[in-house]
Amino acid sequence: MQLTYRRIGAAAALALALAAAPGVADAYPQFQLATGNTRCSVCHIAPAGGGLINEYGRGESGDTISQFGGDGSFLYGVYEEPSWLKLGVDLRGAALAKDNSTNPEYVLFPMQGDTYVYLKGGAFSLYGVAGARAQIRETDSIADRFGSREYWLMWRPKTTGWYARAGRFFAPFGLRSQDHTTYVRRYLGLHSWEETYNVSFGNVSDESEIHVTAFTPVPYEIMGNGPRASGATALYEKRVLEDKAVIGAQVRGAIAETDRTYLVGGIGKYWAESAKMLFMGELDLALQDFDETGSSRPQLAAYLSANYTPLTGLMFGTVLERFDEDMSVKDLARDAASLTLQYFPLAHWELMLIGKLEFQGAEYDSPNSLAMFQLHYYL
Amino acid sequence: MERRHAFARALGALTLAGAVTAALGACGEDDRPASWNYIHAAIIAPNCTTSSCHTQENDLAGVQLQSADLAYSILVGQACDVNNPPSPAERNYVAAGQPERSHLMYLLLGEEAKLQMPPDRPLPGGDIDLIERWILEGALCN
Repeated sequence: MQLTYRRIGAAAALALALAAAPGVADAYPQFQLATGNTRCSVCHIAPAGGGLINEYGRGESGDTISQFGGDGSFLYGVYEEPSWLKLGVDLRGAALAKDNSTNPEYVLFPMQGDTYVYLKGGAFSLYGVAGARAQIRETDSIADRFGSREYWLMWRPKTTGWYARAGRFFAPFGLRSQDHTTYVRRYLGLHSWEETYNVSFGNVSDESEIHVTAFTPVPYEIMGNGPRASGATALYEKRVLEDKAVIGAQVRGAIAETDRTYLVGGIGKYWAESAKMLFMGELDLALQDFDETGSSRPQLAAYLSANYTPLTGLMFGTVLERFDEDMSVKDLARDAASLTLQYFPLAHWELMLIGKLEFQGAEYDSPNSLAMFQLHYYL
Repeated sequence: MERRHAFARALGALTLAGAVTAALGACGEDDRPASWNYIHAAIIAPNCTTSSCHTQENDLAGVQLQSADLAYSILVGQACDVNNPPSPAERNYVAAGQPERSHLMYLLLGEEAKLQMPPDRPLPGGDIDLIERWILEGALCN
């Protein structure tokens, strides 16, 4: 029994670390609009953003994002990649304190250690990321300690215009936050390591973008997690108000062995330049049908944030979230309120502090609390 | 000016949709079925098998919950068979008919266990109540 407890303890520490870890170097939606760039793919290689940044993005990390600037180039420019190759490394460590109503938890762990490779030939390109998984438990297999969340082949003649992509990646949906613990990701089947196998196409321009994706789960024996559902999703985003705002809409249909889920939602961003504030919101409504019991449930996931950038390299944020897993039953909703502080002193470096309170059901007087510090370095 | 109106309209529609759904929702009593198939699909799978937890690949604590049949056999200690209900004397994560003797309940409530499941975010009380009701009704594989 003691062994069982030890194993469960190790498993819990791992799950806690992974589940509470708000970053695997995906897109930072706070930078869209706030840095004067209208679309995520201005700085990222992927058409919908996230992951490895391109040369322009590396320049921006020094020129626009960091307080004291610096050379954001790969290896600080010591090695200049050929035009057909792009490389990158992301390292992230974290310290976490969490009060889960019963036992406080303190965890210090390596959150991320990813290596990116991007190869380009004409209109075709290959992208892959591989790295260590934040495994704390003992494991028999080295395969449990490493993995690849994204690997894909893309046809894209130009960075704007039409593209097609196939492989494993985050099927574009919603705000596409780097924080995979946000309710609009965690509870909508978009958590980290839940990236699906996709065939996707879309069109990206400075005025708007659209991404349409058919998806299916990754087979277990390779690297499968998350909902075992196949389906399709689409995201449309349009820049408005002289590129100071973004509005968008998304839909998703997912069919699993036991249930079907239909999602519809909207997103919005607004950059108030004079106040140096960026507002972001996402609202998704879902209907899930269960085959075996003939029942269904309406769900709601919402996200609202405001980020204040008092000076270059410093960002204060506040986030409100709600997820109601079944709106027809009372007291099943979860709510969260977070405060974040992000500091980018120099290109390649990021420090992040997060404080979060989570409430559920009618228990507003006894929230779960979480504090986290992250140190992020990319090469 | 037209662009501003379009943006305002979109924001307004989102706000209205949120307000309406919030007002309509969260007002009913819990009449969800206390059946294993529902509990697995609606509670266990989305909360326990996501990301890097109790999947076949990760197998944390030797517990795999991704399929309803496998999860049932691990939690209850016997194969899923509606014609052969579990024995209440079994000492597994679930003791049929006896939530007070079911280790699963202590894990979900975080009581007398060194940890609470799920460790990132506990289940809402309503979900734990539904699982308790399922155990009380015999923990059938229905």
